[in-house]
Amino acid sequence: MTTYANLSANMQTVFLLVILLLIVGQIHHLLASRRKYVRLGMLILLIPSMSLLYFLLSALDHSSLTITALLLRRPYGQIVGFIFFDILITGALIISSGIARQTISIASIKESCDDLPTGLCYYNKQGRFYIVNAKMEELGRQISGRWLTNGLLFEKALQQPLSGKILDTKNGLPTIIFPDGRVWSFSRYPVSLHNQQITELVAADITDLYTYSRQLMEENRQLQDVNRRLRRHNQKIDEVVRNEELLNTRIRIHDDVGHCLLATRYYMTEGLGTSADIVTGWQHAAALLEKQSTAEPDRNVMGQLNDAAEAIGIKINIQGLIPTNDKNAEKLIVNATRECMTNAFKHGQAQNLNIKIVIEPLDYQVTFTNDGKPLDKPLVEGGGLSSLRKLVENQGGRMNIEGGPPLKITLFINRNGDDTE
Amino acid sequence: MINVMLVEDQAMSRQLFEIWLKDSTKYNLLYSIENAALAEVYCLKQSIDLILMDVCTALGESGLTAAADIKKKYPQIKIIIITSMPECSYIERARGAGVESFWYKDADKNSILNVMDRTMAGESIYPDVTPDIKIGKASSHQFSDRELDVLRELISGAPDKVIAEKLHLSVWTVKHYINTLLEKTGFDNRTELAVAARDTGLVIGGY
Repeated sequence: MTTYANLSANMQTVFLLVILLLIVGQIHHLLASRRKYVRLGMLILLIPSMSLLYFLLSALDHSSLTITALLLRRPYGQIVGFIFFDILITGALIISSGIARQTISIASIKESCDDLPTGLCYYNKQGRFYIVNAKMEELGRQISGRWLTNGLLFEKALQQPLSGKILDTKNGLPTIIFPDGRVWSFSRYPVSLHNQQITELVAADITDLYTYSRQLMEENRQLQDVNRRLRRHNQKIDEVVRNEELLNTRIRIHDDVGHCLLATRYYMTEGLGTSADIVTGWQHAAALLEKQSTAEPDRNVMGQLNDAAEAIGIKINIQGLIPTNDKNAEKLIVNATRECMTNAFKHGQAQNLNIKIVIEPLDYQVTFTNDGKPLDKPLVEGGGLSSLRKLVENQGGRMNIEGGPPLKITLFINRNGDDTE
Repeated sequence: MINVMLVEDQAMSRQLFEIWLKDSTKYNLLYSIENAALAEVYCLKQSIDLILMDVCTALGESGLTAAADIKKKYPQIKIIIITSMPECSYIERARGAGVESFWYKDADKNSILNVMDRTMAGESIYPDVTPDIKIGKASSHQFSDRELDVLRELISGAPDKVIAEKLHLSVWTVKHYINTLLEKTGFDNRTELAVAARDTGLVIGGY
């Protein structure tokens, strides 16, 4: 107190004003801040500040200060001092609470932005930030390894994050999965502010969405797998049914032979039946067994085509191989050969049907010509040829017809690869 | 003699038919082939009176489609569809194609010869009903035509959207039909349903 009283009047006044400003600031924060711990801190600091102020006022050299000498002369000075501070504090409280209620300050905007679960920042064309919320600041540090200083640099850093891995990029901005398993998606929107274009950068936590979409993808994959297996099963079942037919036929042959044995035994031991019946039975059984033992394998496609052509007096000359491992192409070629064979017989009385098959990287080119009579009028695509065209086009291929002579039909059949799986 | 063409892709079944026909004094087996798509070619030159046509033939060619084409061009040729597949739509399709008779394969020689004789005598022989097949808890006769249509597409592995487009239905209607099928059969999921439907031959796609 003595030390303070020994200071010059001006210095005492300066100290007084500093303490006053400190108190006003504390009151402002007490009222304006939305954070409880800030308000509590201000309240705690206000008590020693007020005590210090009162102490300083009490210790003033009243005689040297014109105004304070008048106002603070003991004992009236102490009373006036209290009243003055009461008014000051009450006024400050009223004014500050009014401001806090009626206006949104930069601090309150920042504070509300910080409370958002998404990352958010705004910057201008040069990348200068207007606001960066806490979440974006945190993400920025993880991605670039430092505090965010420039929006454009941050966008650049997003392309090569120090932490995390880019899952996808959309409109130049990535979706990043971080080491903690969270997934953040970044997006950019133009915003107009006071006739100035600024950029809003938003980071959304899409972890749940990502997890669900992964699950959905996995389920879809499993579904596709099931569908694929179903298709294969569908193809195999014909074979199963045919095998059942085969088994039934074999059982039938076995029964016939068994029946002959039994009839022979009865004839020899009991004298039942006639020898002629038994001989006929054995001849029948022998024919079945002979067929079974020499059962020729199913004729291949070329064999089937040659047989059909032979039945109508046409010879097939084929250059190249029918792709037997591509069932769609094989089926189309058989249908096309049938159609060309029929036309060659009916309209041209041809004796030779020439087929040329060229395997190109993307398709099979199959050309049909014959040595029949040339067309006496322009070819009109009828039921057979137009059905063939439809078949080829349904498989993604095409068909060309050149009137000739000789008439030339070329199919371009897409290669679907080996589908014998 | 009645000229016959046999269209059957399974070698042993075909040979059994061949033996039966060769034993017969009434029928002359002109051709025995595997692929229904080529059957029409054989009709060009020779006078064929009767065709025994399997439904599922070589290279996945449909005997029903071939029969319909032949009946359009050669209506005088009589056709008997022969099959071991109990697919419920085959009988209706055969009738629609104008095919004279329909026979479910068995190992009895007299059965098919009887159908052939009656067919050549001008009769049309069709089974009264398709074979009754158990699929899960349900009998095949418990399904409506539309449910069977959906089931036929389902076994191909097509997703609901594709089935809906093909049958001109909404996706929700397709889902409804599938749920009804699941309820009737008691299967837990569509895969079980599809596999069972295909295994029993109740519905077969592609022919």
